[in-house]
Order: sequence, then structure tokens, then C-alpha cells
Amino acid sequence: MDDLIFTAASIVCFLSALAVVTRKNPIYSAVSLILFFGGLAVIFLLLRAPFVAGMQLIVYGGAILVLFLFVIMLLNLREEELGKEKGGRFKAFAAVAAGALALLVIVPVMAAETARDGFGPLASLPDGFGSVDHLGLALFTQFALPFEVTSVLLLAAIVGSVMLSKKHV
Amino acid sequence: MYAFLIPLLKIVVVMAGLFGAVPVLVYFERRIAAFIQDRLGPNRVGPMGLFQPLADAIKMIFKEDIVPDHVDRVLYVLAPVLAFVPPALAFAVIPFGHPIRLLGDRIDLAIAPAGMGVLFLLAVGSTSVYGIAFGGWASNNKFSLLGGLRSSAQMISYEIPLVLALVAVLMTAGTLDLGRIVAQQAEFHLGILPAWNLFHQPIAFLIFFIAAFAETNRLPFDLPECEPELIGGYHTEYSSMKFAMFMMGEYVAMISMSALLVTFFLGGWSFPGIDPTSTALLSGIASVVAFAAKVAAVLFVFMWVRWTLPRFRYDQLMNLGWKVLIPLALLNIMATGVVGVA
Amino acid sequence: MVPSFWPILAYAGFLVGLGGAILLISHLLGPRRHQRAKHDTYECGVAPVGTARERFPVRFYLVAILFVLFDIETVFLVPWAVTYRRLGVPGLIEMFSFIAVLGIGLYYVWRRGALEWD
Repeated sequence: MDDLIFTAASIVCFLSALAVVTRKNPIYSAVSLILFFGGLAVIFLLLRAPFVAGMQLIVYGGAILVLFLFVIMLLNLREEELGKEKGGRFKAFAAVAAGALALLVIVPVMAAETARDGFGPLASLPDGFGSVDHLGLALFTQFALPFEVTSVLLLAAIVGSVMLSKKHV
Repeated sequence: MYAFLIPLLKIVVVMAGLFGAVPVLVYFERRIAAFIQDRLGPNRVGPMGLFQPLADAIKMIFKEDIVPDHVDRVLYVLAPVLAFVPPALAFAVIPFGHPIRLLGDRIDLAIAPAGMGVLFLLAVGSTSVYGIAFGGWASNNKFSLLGGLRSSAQMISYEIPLVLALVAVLMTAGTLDLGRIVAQQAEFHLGILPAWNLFHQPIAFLIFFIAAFAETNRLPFDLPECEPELIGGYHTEYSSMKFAMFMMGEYVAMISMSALLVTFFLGGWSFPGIDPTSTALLSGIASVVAFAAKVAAVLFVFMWVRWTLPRFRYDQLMNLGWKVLIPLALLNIMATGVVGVA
Repeated sequence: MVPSFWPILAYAGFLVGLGGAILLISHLLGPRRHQRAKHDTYECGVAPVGTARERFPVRFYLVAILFVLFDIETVFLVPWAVTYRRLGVPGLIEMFSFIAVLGIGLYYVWRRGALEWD
């Protein structure tokens, strides 16, 4: 059953990701992206990482996509402003770049999997794996510094966004 | 087979309760409005106008389903569905009664009693803005777009204080499991005062309560519809059942918000006299009735407020959200933290 | 093994199905008569002026980006809220400084007038 749901979610992810880059109207790209995040959240659930699945939907599916939608709606590009389709050379370059990126992900994963004698799920997960309790305790002790640095990053983003938009207000 | 039957049964019960409550609410909303404004309200169709919602529904179904020429067809059709699915989905994790034992099996009275229920609610809540945003955009009408944009900005602005108020409750409860959050509130302080989070977190309750009005686009925060300025806001171009689905979404969101308010602050299904450790069927039914009664009471307050307060201006709305509720909610969390650790 | 969250997926499926059924029923039962005026943009009965595809104030965009940033903050607060008693004073200091830094951000936005809607 897990395999079935995984396959279904993967297909949804793959097709919606394809739709994101092939739709001409940016609104439809954004809609496909929502679908993609939904599929990804299901995969995270199957990986026993419910917190990450929740994050995926809350931060990406909720917040960041709303931002994308606002930008698309604010710009409201008309058909003639969308510009001409990019040429074949551009597409070829994009395909090569995407392929290289995919290799960057696939090679380390394969290496790690073969080092751990073959594919398949871990024999056993530690007790309470993926729970919010575990995550909270690890995040605020072991990873306290990165967590604090994140706040500075967010502050920089706040300042930056105000600077960018205040120019014309 | 049996293991599949029980959750499906629960889904049917929840959906029947939820969508059965919508026409009842519409009727009561109109009657209460009439009472507050000293007029009669619907009283012609059936005894005391009770069949009015039924008549409305039949009328809606047989109305022409207009799809204007200039709309973005796919999103135009998708938006009404997106308007009511997320708020209804919240009911997947809300416990509407204490666990009962039936034919030797323990049955939780919630569709999916998830240990991470709160996380699921947050995830679902963050997607509830799309119905309105898409509806406003796809209509290709200035008023719709303005309404949709205003509404989206309002919903995301008030989502932050809402979640921050929830965080304070989580600090008191120490768990993300809605069943356990309610069970904790079923106890008593000093033998009489129920251990409701309302008494532990009064400020969080207030913030949650105010934000709930804004999230459901109800008066005094109903700027997205704001008839004098925006015609109908995001649903200006909608007619027939598509319009009805937006209305349904608003009422379902109101029920979900009330249910969440009851679950997090007012003790959920618990009630003095109902033994929370019992698994008897009768006691279970009593707890469901207690839950429904509490939700109905909160819904009444929603309607009462609607016909009592005037509408905010948009700048007042944004000021209240960003300059009052968010700082207040953050201070509340810090105070809770100090008290909890000390 | 069926994952334990399958009732949620089933419930979501039922809800979407209900939405589709309602759309289908009203599509089948309602009359359909196309008229140009009826299918035009509704602007209180007068001929529509201009288009809805206009640009909108940048403030909405600013609200959206602030929402993203504060949403991330709340996301960090959730695991802290359920473990803060066990984390004790160090956890408290960590979270307070985190909130303080973002509070400075909120104060900055406030003082720059980005929250003003006139």
C-alpha cells in the first residue's frame, strides 16, 4: 500500500513539476506548483517525517506560493507582454543545466544507498523518529546556532523587502 | 473490512453533520438578524419559515449557471471547490466526542485521530486562501480582483496572530494531539472550575477569537465583500450553485473555526457530568451533544457580533492585525514561557 | 500496510467529489441562454470600463513577504512550544533572542511606515 501511494504521489509530483515549466500562463504554473507541494507532502508522510510534510504545506504551499500568486497578480502580464517563446538553443542549455543538477542529486544518493548494502527502507527507525518532540529537542540543543542565525537571515529579508518596495511607496 | 468501515462511517457522519448544519445556520442567521433589527425575517415558507433554506437551495440549483465570456474558465470553476474543501478538511482531526467502545473495539470520535493534528490544521489553514484568491483573479473583473486581493491579504495577515495564539495553547498542553488537548481540559481545578484553556490562556483566547472573525471574512472584517465598494467582492461574477458554494465555504469555515475555538479553549466535548474516562456509548453521545452545543453557542456569538458591530476600514484592519495582535501574541508566548519554566 | 492517514485522504476525496457533484448538477439542471450583455463583465449595469488586468499597489506584495517571514517564525515556535519545559532556561533564552531579532524586524517595518494603509 505504501508503494502504491508513493507511486501515485510521485506521478503527481512529476506531472505537476512538468506542468510548472511548460505552462505559458504563470498562474497555471503556480497552480501546478501547489499540486506538486501536495504530492511532496504525501511522500514526506510516507517517510515518517510528518513535521517536514507539515512544513512543506505551511511554508511552501501556504506562504511562499501566496507570495508568488501576489506577484503574478500584481504584475498582471497581458498576453502580448509575456514575450516570445525562447529559442531552441536556450531550451537545450536549460535541459543540460537541469540534467547536471539532477546528477548532483542522484550520484550522492546512489553512493550512499550502495554503501548501506542495497536499497530499501531502514531496518528499524529509532523510537519517536520524526516526532515533533524529537525535532524540538534536537533543534534547540544540537542545532541552536543555525537556528539563531536563521533569525538574522529572516531579519535581513525583512529589511530587504521593505527597501525594495519602499522605493515607490 | 471492518477496519475500513468505521472510518468511512465517521466520514459520512461528519459530512452529513457539517453540510446539514449549513442550511440550518443560514436560517438562524436570518432569523437572528431579523430579531436584532426588530423585523420579522423569513416566516412564509413552512412553519416559522423553516423551509426557507430548502426553497433557497432548490432555487439556486435551477438557476442558470453563468460562465461569463471573459473569465479564466479552469480557475473560475476550480475556485468555488477550493473555497469549501480546506475548511471542511479541518474536521478530519477535530475530536467531536470522547472515545467509545463498540463491539469490543475502541473507537475515537474523530475521522483521523492524528498525533500531529495541530500541524495538519495549520497546513490545511494555510491553503484556505486559494479559493478566494483564484475566484477573484479568474473572474477578470476589477471588483472581484480587488476583493480577492484584499481578502487574501487580510487572511494571511490574521493567520499569524491566530497561529501564535495557538502556540501559546500548545505550550500549556505540551502536545500536538487534539484528543489529548481536549482530555486535559476535561479535568477540574479545585473541583469546580473546568481546566479549560480559556482560563489558562485568556489573552490567547481573545487573539484567537478576533483572528477567527478575520479568517472567516465575517463582519466586522467582511471587507472582501464590502457591498458598497466592491459589489460582491470575489464572487461578483458567480451565480447559481457556484455562488452557493462560496456561501457554503463561508459557513463551513465559520463552523470549523467555532469547532477549533471550542476544542482549543472551551474544553471540546468535555462537560461537567460527563466522565472523560468512560467509553460507554451513552456517555459518548452525551459528549457529542456537549460539543455540538458549545459550537452552536460560539456560532451564535459570531452572528450576534455580525449584526452589532460596524465594518472596519482597511487600514484599521491591517493596523489591528500587525501592530496590536502580533506583538501581543508574541508577548503572551514569552510570558507563558517564563511562567512555564520558572 | 495501509498508512494510518488514509481516512484523511479518503475524506479529502469525498469533499472534492461533493464539489464536483454540485457543479455537475447545477450545470445539468440550470437553463442556458447566451446573451452578450449577460456574459459581459458586471459593473453595476453600465458598460465595463478598461480591463481588470491592471497593476496593483506594491503594499499587498509587502504584506505577502512579511507573511512568509513571520510564518517561518511560527513554524519554529511549534516544536519549541511542545518541548520548552524540557529545554528549560537555555531554550527560553534561545527562543527569546529569536523572537527579539524578529521583533526588531517588525519594529523596523513599522517605523519605515510599511504597515501604513492610507
